[in-house]
Amino acid sequence: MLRRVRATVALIVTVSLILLAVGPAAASDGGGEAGATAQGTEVTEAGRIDGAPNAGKREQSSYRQTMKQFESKLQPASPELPDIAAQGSAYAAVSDPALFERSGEEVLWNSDRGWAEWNVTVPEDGLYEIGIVYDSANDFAVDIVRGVQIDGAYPFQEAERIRLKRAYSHDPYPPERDDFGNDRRPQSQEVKGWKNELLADYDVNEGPLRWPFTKGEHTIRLVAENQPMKIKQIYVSAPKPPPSYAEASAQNGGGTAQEAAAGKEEPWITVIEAEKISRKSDASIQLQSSDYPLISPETDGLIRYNSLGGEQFRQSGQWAEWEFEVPKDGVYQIGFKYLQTYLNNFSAYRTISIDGAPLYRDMEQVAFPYDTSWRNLTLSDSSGEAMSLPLAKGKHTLRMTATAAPIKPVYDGILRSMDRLSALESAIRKVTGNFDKSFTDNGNIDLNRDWELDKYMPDLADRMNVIIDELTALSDLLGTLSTGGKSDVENALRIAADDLADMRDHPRDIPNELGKFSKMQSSLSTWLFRMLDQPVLFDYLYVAEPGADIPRATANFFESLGHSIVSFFRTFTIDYDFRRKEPGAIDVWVNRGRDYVNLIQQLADETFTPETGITVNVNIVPDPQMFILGNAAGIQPDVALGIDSAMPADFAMRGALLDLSSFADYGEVAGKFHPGALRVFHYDRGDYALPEIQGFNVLAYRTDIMEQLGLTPPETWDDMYGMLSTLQQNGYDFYLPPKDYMTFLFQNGAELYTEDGLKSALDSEKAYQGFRQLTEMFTLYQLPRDVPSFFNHFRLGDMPIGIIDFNSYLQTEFAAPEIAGKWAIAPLPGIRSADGVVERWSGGAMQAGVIFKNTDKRDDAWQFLKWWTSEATQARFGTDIEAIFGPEYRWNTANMKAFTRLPWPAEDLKVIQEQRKWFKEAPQVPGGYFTSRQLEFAWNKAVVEKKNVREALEQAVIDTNREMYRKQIEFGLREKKGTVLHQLDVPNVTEPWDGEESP
Amino acid sequence: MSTITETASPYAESAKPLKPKRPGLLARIWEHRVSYLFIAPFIITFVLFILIPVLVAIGLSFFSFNAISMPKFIGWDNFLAILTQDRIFLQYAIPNTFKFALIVGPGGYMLSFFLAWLIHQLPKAVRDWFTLAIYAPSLASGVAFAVVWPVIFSGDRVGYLNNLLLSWGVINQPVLWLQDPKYFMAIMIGISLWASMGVGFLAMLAGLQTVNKELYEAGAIDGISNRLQEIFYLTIPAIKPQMLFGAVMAVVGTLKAGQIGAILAGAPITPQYSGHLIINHIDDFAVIRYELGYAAALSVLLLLLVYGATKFSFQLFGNKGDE
Repeated sequence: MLRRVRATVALIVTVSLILLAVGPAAASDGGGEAGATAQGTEVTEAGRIDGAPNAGKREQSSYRQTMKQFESKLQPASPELPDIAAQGSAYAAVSDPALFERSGEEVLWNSDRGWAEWNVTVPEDGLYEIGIVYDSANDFAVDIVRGVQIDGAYPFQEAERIRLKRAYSHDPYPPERDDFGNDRRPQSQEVKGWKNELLADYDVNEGPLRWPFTKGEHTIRLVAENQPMKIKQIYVSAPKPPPSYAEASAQNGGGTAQEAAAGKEEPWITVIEAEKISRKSDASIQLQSSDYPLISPETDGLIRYNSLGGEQFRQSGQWAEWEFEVPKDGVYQIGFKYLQTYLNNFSAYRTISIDGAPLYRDMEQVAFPYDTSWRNLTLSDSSGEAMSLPLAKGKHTLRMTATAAPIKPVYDGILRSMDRLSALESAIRKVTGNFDKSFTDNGNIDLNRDWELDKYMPDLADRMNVIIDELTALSDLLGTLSTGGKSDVENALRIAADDLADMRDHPRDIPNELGKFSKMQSSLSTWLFRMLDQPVLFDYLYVAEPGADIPRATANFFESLGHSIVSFFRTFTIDYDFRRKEPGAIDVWVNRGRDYVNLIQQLADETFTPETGITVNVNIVPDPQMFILGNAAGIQPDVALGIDSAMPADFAMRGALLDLSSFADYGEVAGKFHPGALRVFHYDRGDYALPEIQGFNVLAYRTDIMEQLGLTPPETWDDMYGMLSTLQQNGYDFYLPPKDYMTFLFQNGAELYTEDGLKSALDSEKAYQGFRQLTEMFTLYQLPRDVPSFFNHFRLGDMPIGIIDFNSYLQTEFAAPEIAGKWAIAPLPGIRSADGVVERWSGGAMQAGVIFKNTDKRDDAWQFLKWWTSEATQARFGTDIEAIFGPEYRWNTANMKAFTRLPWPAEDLKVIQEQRKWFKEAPQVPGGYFTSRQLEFAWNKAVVEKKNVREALEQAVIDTNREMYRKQIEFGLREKKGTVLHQLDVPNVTEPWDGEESP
Repeated sequence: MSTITETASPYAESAKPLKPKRPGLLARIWEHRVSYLFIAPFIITFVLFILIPVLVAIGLSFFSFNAISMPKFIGWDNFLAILTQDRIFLQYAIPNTFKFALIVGPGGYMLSFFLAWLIHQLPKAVRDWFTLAIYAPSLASGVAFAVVWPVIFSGDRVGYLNNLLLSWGVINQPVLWLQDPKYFMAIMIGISLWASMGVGFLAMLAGLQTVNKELYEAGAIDGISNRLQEIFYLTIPAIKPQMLFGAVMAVVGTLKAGQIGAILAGAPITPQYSGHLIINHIDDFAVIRYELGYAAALSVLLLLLVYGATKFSFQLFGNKGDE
């Protein structure tokens, strides 16, 4: 026995030694493909984005590495070279002519797929910049993304996703005021028109990207990643880097400063309010109302949009533009009043360009250091002296672009270390034969056995040293960037380095504490999350002749005190409830944030009231409990919105809501919603609510990792079992929300209640199958039972596939830029029915609108609810809320048609629509809340206590029935002795529905 | 007291002739109107926020009320149901509450006294710091429950306790502490003990400082030979009022506890009712099932329970007669 173990170990060791000899990363190659070894050394060097244990074999090198490579060989092309341009319509080849539409010199690329190629002839070898004259081709508020290939290959990794920004302006500006005198947030209106931009990625470089070309003919291919677009021209031009201020002023003989100082009149100064932008790149760059002393203009205790940015202006590549005019030719100083309390002990960076380009190199990385109060920052050169910028008389445009380039090396370094850590971890796992990462981190290993790991992996200490050194170096680098004081990230890096050093010194213990690796990686990754963010809040900009008096930014003690006192006394004069109380109007209570409520009010005033003559008071209800308490106190609205899905039936049972099906046109109105959603609001032959928003579950997966493992997203759960072994053998996991019992019950054809709604139907054989399937996922198949943040695991790549809901979908879409384009969604795995259809039943969170029974304006209220849930209003609301707050505020309307009119990525929309066909939520019956409670108990018994599944489920059924019985007596459905007096009807949904034809 | 009034009061002259006739109640109240003014703030808030709600709850317990429709009078039915049909109440809520209250109440109480006594032995300079350290958990408990403890008992490997035990080799796999009914109650009790050094503890500490030092000297002369005797024969009798106060606070506090289970479980219902206390049961009926009458009946029972336990504390520490 022992001998056999030794033999196996020896074999593993030999294999891993061979692999190690070829290159460190080869050992991380789970499948053991021989082809992968060629790039072995390359992999650990490359700044790989995904930290998965054995991800990405054919990775590109990053922009920085590519540039370093070319440093000696290729020079930037000489600036005198003329641009080499190609008309948009003059493309050389396209993937599919049907996607492209030429007109004149422009081409409309009306799709987010395919590719197009242009030919350019480059006169000499060198590094060039690529420019493009483009416009957007629709109104979706998301970036246009294209990959750029030169001669059929991406020259560097960043070229795979080049973002082309749209331009927006605020409309109306200055903002309108609402009834209380508060500013109404203006919409971001896209400004169409040709935009001429040099391709850039402000994550890696604050200027345009440079592309290597040799002399001769080349093809530039654009590969669609997101959004259709129009292209007028593509051109290659020689880089024209700005001179440094010191050089330039030396050339001018340093006369500029004195010249200005000699001026006899009062030096001129103008202040441009930051909120008064002319253009911005993202709808999500937001106006803010900031109440501080000395803020300009004052808020007077109300909402006044008087500043711009903050957390809403942080992603690199986002820009804002302001226009200003100077009275005469001359030199000027430019500065900003800013607040940067966001990045503890760090600076946030901006690139400032004037009329299209930074005048000096010193304007490419302007640091806004951390400070707890407002500060002025005048653009200065490296020595700290304010720069005098020569400007001609007339109008100028100042553009400020957020850039993360200075911090990017640290970011890349951390990623690299994480990669090395996971490579090292999997190498050790190969030696010890411990691959079980699913739930028990030490898994199937014998804890009492120890390993002379340094014998099996002679380079172990070296490999760890590399990581330790890198982490220490990064921490030092961060120290130099800090604005004083140690930052949290810096400390985290040092701790990780210390931990590693400790492991290096005790190699024998390593196999028993492999979990430390993933812990280290996850702690590093939490810092990565927001590392590239560059938030700054701006109050105003100033352009001044040297020597002008610049308004003071920081308030002194008395000003602060005065401000506080005035604010205090304002609380007596301003009613901060902002409740609208127009007499004769219908009262609408909304359980959502102020932003949503204001927009609903605005839309109602704009379209509903003029159309119907019904006025509406929309007010906030901060806590849903208020509906119950208000009810007890006799205070009730006519309509309530934003109600959670269980509440309508609860209220309906007690007779507080109006039965909407009593309206003649209810059938027509309800036809726009999924029957699987509507049945939640059905109680005893009545329908009491209309859904507003409706979530979904989808399967998200990392395309890069799945491809590399040779896996495709599973269609059915059987497929999923099939792929699980491959996943788990390679140290990956599948994420399933632990207590999502409904998916499995419904897919197995079970129902929660009998047709008369009086008994639990979980005693059926189908329900048992479904419940057993769910529990076996966590017992037999060892899926992780407790995952606090799947999102982070997904980004990291150690759980490359899992089931997510609508919110996680948005989070992944908008908060994980580093995996953009590397993941996709698919419908949930299902169960193949007898006739070959995969049934994917699953639920999703909903919110609904209801009408209270005591209303004296029944018909008005119904009209309002109809208007609100109509396709036009929902689509308008969805687009408006995104226009105001950015795409993160995606409105997942329950109206099936309006849903398709929102700016979903085309591929995702198809998947989500397919999944929404199979929407089914739990019906509500008296005592129904016991179903989820008892199922959770049963899950707990079966999974945690490892008790018999059937027994656990049967106990759940008994207890649920008992509670339902009790409740039925309360609601008069049963006599006290148990005779049934009245039967309910629980609508069943057995067919998928895509919203096209009425059910 | 009365002698002083008679000599000092300017009304003494006019009061004298009335003396033979005992004034009516209202007149006496009017006479002492200033005293009533002084207790008014307490009386008003007490009536408004304690007395009326309690009376309403008692009234409501005879009704069936679902928060929306009109309450319906049903007599003793609620109480009948509680005592004969409510399996969860009898099987989980009552035993859990007793288990919890018996350990946390007297346990926390003794711990309070012991720690107070221990701190009292410290030099004055450091005493306040220890007091603060021990008292702080009860102040911060709400936040700590929600933030600190779930992290410590987190069910994955990163949870502090799991991590520690794993690294010491006590366990081989992470334990789902807060999902396993086996551990849940024990964790609740542990945390509650940690947070139980509240006002009772402070009162005892203050009481200890009022004990006359000469007593100990006298005791020593009278033959007290060790610290334990000192505690039993001198310290405890000397701080009886504070001990009573501490006991009442402990009893009421533990019977009222309930929030902690819900916070730890992250849901109003604890796993398999393992931490289901009477308060949770009341919440369950009031907020989830909307049976406010039934919940009121449960609260009345709880009130009786608290009253009984308090009476018992008075038996133990109250002043028998006027000592």
